Amino acid sequence: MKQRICDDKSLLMAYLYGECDDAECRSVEEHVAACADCAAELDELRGVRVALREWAPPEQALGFRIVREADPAALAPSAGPPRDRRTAHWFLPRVPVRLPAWAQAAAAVLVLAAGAGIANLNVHIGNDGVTVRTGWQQAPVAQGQPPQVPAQAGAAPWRADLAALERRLRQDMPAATATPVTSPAPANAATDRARATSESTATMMRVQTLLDDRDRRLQRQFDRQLAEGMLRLARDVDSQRVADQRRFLQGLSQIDVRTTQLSQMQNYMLRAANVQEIK
Amino acid sequence: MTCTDEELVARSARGDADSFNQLITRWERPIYALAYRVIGHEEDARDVCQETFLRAFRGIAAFKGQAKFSSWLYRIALNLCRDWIRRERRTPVVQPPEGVDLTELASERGPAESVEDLVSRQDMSRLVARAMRSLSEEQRTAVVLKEYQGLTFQEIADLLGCPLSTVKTRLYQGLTLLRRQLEAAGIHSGVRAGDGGLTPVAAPRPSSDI
Repeated sequence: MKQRICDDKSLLMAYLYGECDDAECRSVEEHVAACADCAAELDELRGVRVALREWAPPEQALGFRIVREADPAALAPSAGPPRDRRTAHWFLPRVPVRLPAWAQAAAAVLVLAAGAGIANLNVHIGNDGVTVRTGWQQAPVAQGQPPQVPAQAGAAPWRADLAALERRLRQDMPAATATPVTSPAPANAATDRARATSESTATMMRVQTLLDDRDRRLQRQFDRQLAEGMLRLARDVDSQRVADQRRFLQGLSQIDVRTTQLSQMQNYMLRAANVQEIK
Repeated sequence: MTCTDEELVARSARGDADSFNQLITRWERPIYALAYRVIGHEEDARDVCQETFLRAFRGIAAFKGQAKFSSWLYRIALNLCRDWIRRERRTPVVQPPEGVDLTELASERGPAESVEDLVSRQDMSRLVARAMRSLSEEQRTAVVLKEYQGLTFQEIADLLGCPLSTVKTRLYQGLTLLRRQLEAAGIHSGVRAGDGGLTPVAAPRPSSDI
């Protein structure tokens, strides 16, 4: 048994995790009482287990929920062919893990504002999107125009969503409130109430979906505009760098000319001084 | 009244999404913890967790209860983790802990002060996470399933489709490697007083915080 425990660690592992029968436990305990190496190893492996307990996964807001789409057509009018009945739609957790859009916007503004101190930038974030303009340019040079196009393009689905939501709410609310009142039989009333509750839940799910879609769309729009702004900024910086380099070289050549002129002037004066001394 | 997994699975198979959501609530943290510890990236572990439940929901009708629901979930999650590792074409890596330099920690240690006293619980967590990076995928999976998910050797063998002895060997190799890594970081891996003596340390069962 001694040789077996020393060479084959299976029994030691089973003992370590409490998965051996009484006879095996006794044999291991007798062995480690006599074998210093195995006793030390067992001790160290227990220590590793103690250390492992300290490893906790990061806190994550999960809260996954699976929700079957009640009416795919209402959710995505142009989404193509109707989906399978069992198709599931995932709602993201209510507590976002990534930075929320406003925090990302604030961070972006902070970064751009810091850059503005160096690059003399004019950053404007408004209803018409993100506008980045450098102070080197005398005029906006139509920098504000490109962001407006996606902003307007992104605003249209917004309104369409809200209009669709309003329509659905107007359709669903009367059904949810009127049906139980008009039902004659109590059994039917209970059924209708259940149906109304179900419809109300479905409506809430659709509202949630629309809100999620809106958040995603806004996020995409903001990312796109930010990327465009950063691209323009990079182009401006590059063009300004080239212009500065050209001016610097021109300045250097002018200094060179001036230095030559000064040197010539110095030579003339020296010659004149020598002529006067000779005289 | 709390329903068993089997009851919720049966209802879910009949199309009851609420029952499946109860199963998600019950198992999302263990599945997330499993994915995080195997692949080591928070956001990707989150995606794996979400995809695990999505696949489980789609396949719940075909799940005949031949295994425990949790084992079935673990298998889906581990397959997704394996796919992730292959897709990323890299060794599963726990995100390198920030702000902890083992060499600095060791040099800061006073003559009578152990590193255990020096580092906080969170730092110890980071040290363990870093040590886990040295394990192979198989060793890491065995350690995670045994140590954190609390599965028996037989359950792990069934889950991974390998012999019982292989599971124990992988676990032993993993623990030994971890011991060396921790010792290199100045952590004494010998068990401390009051941590069990020579009695076997019972395996933890899944809990809400794993």
